[in-house]
Amino acid sequence: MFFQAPEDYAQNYVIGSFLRCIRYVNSLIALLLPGFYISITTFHQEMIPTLLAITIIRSKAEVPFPTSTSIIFMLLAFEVLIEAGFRLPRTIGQTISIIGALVVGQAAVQAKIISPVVVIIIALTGMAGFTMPNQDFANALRIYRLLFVLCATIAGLYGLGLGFLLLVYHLNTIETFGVPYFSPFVANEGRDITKDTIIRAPLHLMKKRPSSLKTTNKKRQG
Amino acid sequence: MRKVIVFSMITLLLISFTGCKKSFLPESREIDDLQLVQVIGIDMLPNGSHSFLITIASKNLAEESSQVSSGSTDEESTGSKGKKALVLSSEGDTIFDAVRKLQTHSDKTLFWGHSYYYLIGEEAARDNISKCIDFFTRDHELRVESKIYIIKGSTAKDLIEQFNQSSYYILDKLDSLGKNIKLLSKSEEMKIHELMRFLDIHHASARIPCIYLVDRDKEREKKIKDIDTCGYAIFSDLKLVGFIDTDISRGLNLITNTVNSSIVAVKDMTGQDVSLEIINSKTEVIPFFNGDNLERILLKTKVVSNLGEIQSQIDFANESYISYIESRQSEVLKNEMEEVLKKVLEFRSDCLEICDRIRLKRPLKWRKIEDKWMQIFPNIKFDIQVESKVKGTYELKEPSGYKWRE
Repeated sequence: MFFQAPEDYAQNYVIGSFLRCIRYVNSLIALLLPGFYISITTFHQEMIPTLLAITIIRSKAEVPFPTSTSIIFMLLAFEVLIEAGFRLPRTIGQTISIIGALVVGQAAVQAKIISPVVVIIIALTGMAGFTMPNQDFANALRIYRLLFVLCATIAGLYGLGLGFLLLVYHLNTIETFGVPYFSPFVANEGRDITKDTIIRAPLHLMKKRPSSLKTTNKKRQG
Repeated sequence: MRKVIVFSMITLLLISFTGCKKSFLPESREIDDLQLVQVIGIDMLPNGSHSFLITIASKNLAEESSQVSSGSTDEESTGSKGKKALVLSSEGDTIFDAVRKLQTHSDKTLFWGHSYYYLIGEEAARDNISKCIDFFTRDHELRVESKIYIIKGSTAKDLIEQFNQSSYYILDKLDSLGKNIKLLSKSEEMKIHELMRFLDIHHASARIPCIYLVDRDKEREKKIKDIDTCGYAIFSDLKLVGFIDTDISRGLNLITNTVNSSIVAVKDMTGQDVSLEIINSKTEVIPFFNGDNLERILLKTKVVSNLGEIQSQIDFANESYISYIESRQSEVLKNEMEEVLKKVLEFRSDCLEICDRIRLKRPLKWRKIEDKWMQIFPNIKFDIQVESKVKGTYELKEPSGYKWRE
């Protein structure tokens, strides 16, 4: 339900499905990318292609902080920026984002306090987080992202996997007004799984309402 | 409450069953504390003490960043500065010993997961090849995908250090060599897991591609050291017994079906040169048995080539000319194959994958002769048949100047 934007239904189903696929991938990026970066650079260096590894080493050569510290610092700074942008009037809000992103970011990179690769990672994560159509879901991703960063700092990919397992367990136990959080993936013996999830099927195949909602009127309007 | 208990139980179980003995959690290290080892040279010290000498090369990151910041390349350089690679070497009774000693005089943690090439010195190869590769295949950090070369005529340390005087990084050079090897098909690339399989299947014989240091002229009388491929090193009973040079090593590639492309230069009726480009070749190994005895082996090679260059000005688009060129090509290739076979039989090394081919062709008969294969092998009679076909002559029908000649 959190990946469905209203315009999906107004556009051709090919475009709707494509955008939705992107949203699913983006949610994973927003959730896992900082943690994944920490785990491969501090635990599993053999996973990085050699040339990329050399680039990362070179960019991080004179940066004093460990990767995890700089990632956590940048994530928090990013949240601060968003919050500052919200509170200020719209005209000044833009100034804040320019100062924050360009001036502080650029200066931090040039002063070798933060490696440029970390900035890229945080930027990617932030952008991916903004593509979520549902603000509550985006907020949840922001919080869990920090938890995953902690998991990865402690135990690398293993910690990341462990955290993900616990998260999936947690999400599976949630019900909202009797509807499972993961429906239609977990409810109804997978009946609606192909219709309105990763792929937005053509409208003529979606005449009925999702059965997990247990509506009295089974048909969609219109 | 129930949820909290389940949650903490899962976490506890997962953390305590990681399989790590020393601590619960894996060990972490920052990526910039690592020095990525990319080329490893293995030598044996010549004094008969059976000690190993390990030389490693990794990209010199300090050199490049200082160049970028200062903006000039011809600065006064001292020590490792100005070189493309950081080279370290150390001695030890075994390879593992030498590797550990290497770590103690390096300021960064040596990381072996990105090693791409093993260069084995001639001396070490003459002693025993499996001694050289055992550590590298057993250790978990190193990759079995890495490629292996034998250094002909010098030690690996010499090669790495001398090449480092030039303006190229040794890994880039080896990469480009490996890419271009297919164009001549006079050698090949070999990964270390292929070598392991080869040694096991082919009765401890093997062929490993060779490289050597050459002087190359560049920029007005300035000689630079360069690396080039030079055929194969042949192993018998895990020891290096001899080399097959580039003048005949294409024969080996033909027999083992590893020719991608190659240029054959032959003379035509007028005595001028003609270049043929091999585009396809296939050799079939056909064993002939008399009862359970292997009588003879027929190597039947089919080569398809294109006519790429003609230096004479005669009309070549007729059957007699083409068939003459074909026969000349067959003759040249047959000669190379015969020379290779002669050498290989003399070395008593089944590096041509003959036994594997017999096993695939006649599995039941092979089982009868499997145990005494190395006694049979040097005395087998080999027949070679080469069948050439010139397929195309590209766009030009007649060479330039043909009309004028008439």
